[in-house]
Amino acid sequence: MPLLEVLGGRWGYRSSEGIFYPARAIDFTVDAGEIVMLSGRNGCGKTTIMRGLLGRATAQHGTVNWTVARNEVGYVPQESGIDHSIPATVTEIVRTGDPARWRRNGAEARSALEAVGMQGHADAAFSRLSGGQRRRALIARALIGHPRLLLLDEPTINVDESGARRVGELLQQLASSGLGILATSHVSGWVAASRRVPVSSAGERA
Amino acid sequence: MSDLLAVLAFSWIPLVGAFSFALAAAPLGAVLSLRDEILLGLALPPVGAAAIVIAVWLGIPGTATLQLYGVAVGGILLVTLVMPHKSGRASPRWRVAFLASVFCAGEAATLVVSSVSTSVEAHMQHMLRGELLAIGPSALIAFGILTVVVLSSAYLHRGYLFALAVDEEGLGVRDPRRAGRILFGFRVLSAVIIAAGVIWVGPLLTIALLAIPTMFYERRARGLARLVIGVGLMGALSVLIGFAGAIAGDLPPAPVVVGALFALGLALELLARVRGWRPKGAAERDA
Repeated sequence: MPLLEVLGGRWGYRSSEGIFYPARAIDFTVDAGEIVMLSGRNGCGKTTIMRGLLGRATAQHGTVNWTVARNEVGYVPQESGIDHSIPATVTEIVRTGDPARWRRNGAEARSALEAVGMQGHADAAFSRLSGGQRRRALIARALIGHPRLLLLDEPTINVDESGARRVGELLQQLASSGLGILATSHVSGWVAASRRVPVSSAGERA
Repeated sequence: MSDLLAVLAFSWIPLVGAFSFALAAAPLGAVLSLRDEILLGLALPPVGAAAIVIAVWLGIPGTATLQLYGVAVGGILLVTLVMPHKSGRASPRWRVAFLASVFCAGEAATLVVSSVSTSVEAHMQHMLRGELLAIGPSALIAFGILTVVVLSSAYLHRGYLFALAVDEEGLGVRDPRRAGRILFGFRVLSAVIIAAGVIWVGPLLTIALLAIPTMFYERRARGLARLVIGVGLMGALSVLIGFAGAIAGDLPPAPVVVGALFALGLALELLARVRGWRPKGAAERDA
């Protein structure tokens, strides 16, 4: 039983000329311990699919079956999702991943940072991390609360080659522990052992 | 010294009022700034002032502080609820223009109503000029309770406040139903604090306490918790220094407190440069 199954999934958002569907309908599944990569060129609609899965799109068609609860899904937004200059420590950023348990999630945040190899930066300023370190910190943030499925939107944007490789190695390590991973990326080769699902541009309005 | 004590004997109420207001307003300014919404702090006090003068013009007594407070909260809340949302279709530039327009509308409405209403002229000018001596003991007690409630609530829900500041969308993804309620709660909290400021200390000092401590301290803060505590202390200390300066120089307190905010901020900046204070960096960078 896959953690997530999408059949004929198609999502759109409101634009000044009506609902815009950037990508064609898509089918895929994500199993436990598997890395699935939604790949395609810039602007083909990968982020809209990701946002649609998270309930942030205006229109949805097709069938989406989840076998995980909402609070078992971790989400790593695009790099631009969080202001880099924010005066927060890395630990504080990680702890915002589970705000309801703020008073009790300090130890969990430290474990999550350890899982992504960032335990040495727990008290560092988020604004002073490199691009690759920021990605790993945001992955740690998504891991807090022990998700079964991790969604990552363009995890290698603004990360150099070695940083991207380290993010890829981290995802493989997380997948080997049983976590299902769905990521979008317009580049390939930074993570081995992933199943690629091509996203085709549609550019349709309704 | 005896003169100072004599002045304090009748000005302790506004001093305590402004001090406790600073403890709530400056951290609110920090959270608004983190959310890239500091212009709300500029736009909303004039809205609160306009709501109050319109209410007085329409017949609510100028001495009915709690009723006027409710009107100001309602006016501010209304504007924040109709304001275009960050994730909506409106561009960030349009949002800035919208808030600047709200500021202008609030100021214009206040000026027009003040000029046509004798009751506003008689009862509200002290508030609009930020004369801190305007509040009485019963209002102080009510607002004191309010400050405790607001600060306790913010402390208990600080995880959500920080999540709202860092990544509102992420909060919505994790728990969509609760995220809407949390944002609404934050808007109410903001309206409650800003409306209290309009009545307590006037629009000028409200805006100053929201913006100036954050402007000076945000770049130096080593974490979100330290930021909100630091700006709160900076605001409260500036109130004490400003009041002392106003009493010593026989000057109006609000502008002197604003001066104290700048003086304290510049002193902090100077000290930080001399001591080389900066946020802690990463031990190693991989890019």
